[in-house]
Amino acid sequence: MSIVLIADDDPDILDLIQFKLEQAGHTLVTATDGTSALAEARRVTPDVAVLDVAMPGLSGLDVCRELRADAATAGIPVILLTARAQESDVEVGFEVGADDYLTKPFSPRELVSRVAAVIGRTRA
Amino acid sequence: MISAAWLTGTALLIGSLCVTLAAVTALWRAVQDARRRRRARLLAPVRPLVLRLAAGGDEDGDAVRTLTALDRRTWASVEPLVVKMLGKIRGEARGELVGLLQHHGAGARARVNLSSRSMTARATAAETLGVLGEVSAAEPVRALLTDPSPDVRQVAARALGYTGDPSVADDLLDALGSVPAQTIAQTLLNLGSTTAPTLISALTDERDAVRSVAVEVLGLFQFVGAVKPLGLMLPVEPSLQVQLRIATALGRLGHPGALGPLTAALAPRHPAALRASAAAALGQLGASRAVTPLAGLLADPAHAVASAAAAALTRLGSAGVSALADMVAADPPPGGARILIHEGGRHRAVPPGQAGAHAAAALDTMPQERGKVRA
Repeated sequence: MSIVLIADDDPDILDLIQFKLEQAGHTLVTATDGTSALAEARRVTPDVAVLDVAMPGLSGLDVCRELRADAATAGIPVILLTARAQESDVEVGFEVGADDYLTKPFSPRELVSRVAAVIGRTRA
Repeated sequence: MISAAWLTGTALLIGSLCVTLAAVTALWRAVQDARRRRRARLLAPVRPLVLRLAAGGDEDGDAVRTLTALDRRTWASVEPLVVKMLGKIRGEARGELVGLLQHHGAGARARVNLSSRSMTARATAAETLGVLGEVSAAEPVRALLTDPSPDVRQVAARALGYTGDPSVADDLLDALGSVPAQTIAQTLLNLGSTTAPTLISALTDERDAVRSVAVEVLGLFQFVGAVKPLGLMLPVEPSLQVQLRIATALGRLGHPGALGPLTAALAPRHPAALRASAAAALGQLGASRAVTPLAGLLADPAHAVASAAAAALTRLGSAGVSALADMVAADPPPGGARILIHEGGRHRAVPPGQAGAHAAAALDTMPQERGKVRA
């Protein structure tokens, strides 16, 4: 069983992802902004973090950058959720150390596959 | 002369008007709050069903059955969430949500509401028709691009992105100026590369904003057919801002055909901003043939150009790294690798050793090269 951290400021999206990933057998930790996402990541050290890029306060990119800068959290795989027109965010995302990204609108089933793939790569 | 009685009467009248206005406002707010609470109360028990359906987790069909059977009053509270979810997800779950909307008559209602006096009703109608994804919805929604309300125009533009009708691309480009460019670009991206012919035609439009968005979207599409027109456009484009976008787009396109136009844009006769963008784009292009022209820019007097060339060389594999290391050896930076060149927003003239400094600073950003070429 894996622990997945999800951070999104939209409660409906958060609940939808939570439902889908719990159905896939993961344990979920949720956050509605970047600051609490960072705090949760430091507290539970999840197997993977799914971060929305556009969040109030610290963005998903900021959180990813902070995670990579701290030796205790540097190894947490990160999947970014971003709108398609923000492809520059994707480029920056990879530069700050994100492992994968999904563009919105996204397929919940694809998200489950990406999470499984990233966890699999990390454990391999 | 104004009498005391007249003054008292006027004051009482104004006072009673204020009290009435305050009471009406409070009542209106109370009604709105009550309506919101009622909708939230009706939505709460069925919200998990909508989310389960949107997540593609309704294997037994229980959620669809329950949501299909909802009465009109409850459905009115659920519909906004269904419309919102359709804008956020894709995949097979969309079909179920669209089916629900159709079953409850959302499409027909939205068509009627497109001409509502209420701005909110018009915007909601446009969004609903958009997420339903019907090509036939494009025509009535496109009329809202000229709506008096900027919010309605923006929602209409976004909604057109879901209809999949490439013929709306011209209308979207025409709406630039009354709808934010970012929204137009996003919508064109949602419509997909079938809009590419319209965007290629728009490269010769007389409006800078139209050319700019067309260039940006073609680059984001990574539409290879755009390499040639963008390459031809780069040297003759009158707007520097559009030129910068062309350079970036050519880098994104990642096609060898972009090498020539980008290399030509490095020439000293061009503005430093364009040369820097072209250098960065050559790095993104990843062509090893760009190593020599980029290495030649390391001593450029414009800091932005030299710095962009050095950063680009780090992206060109071993040939780029060798060129940087050679420069550090041939032109050792004084006092170590990290030298502050950009001070207080002003660029200093290039002293001896500065090309090496740029090269060393770029190598310093590469973990695997860090420390190898430093004295």
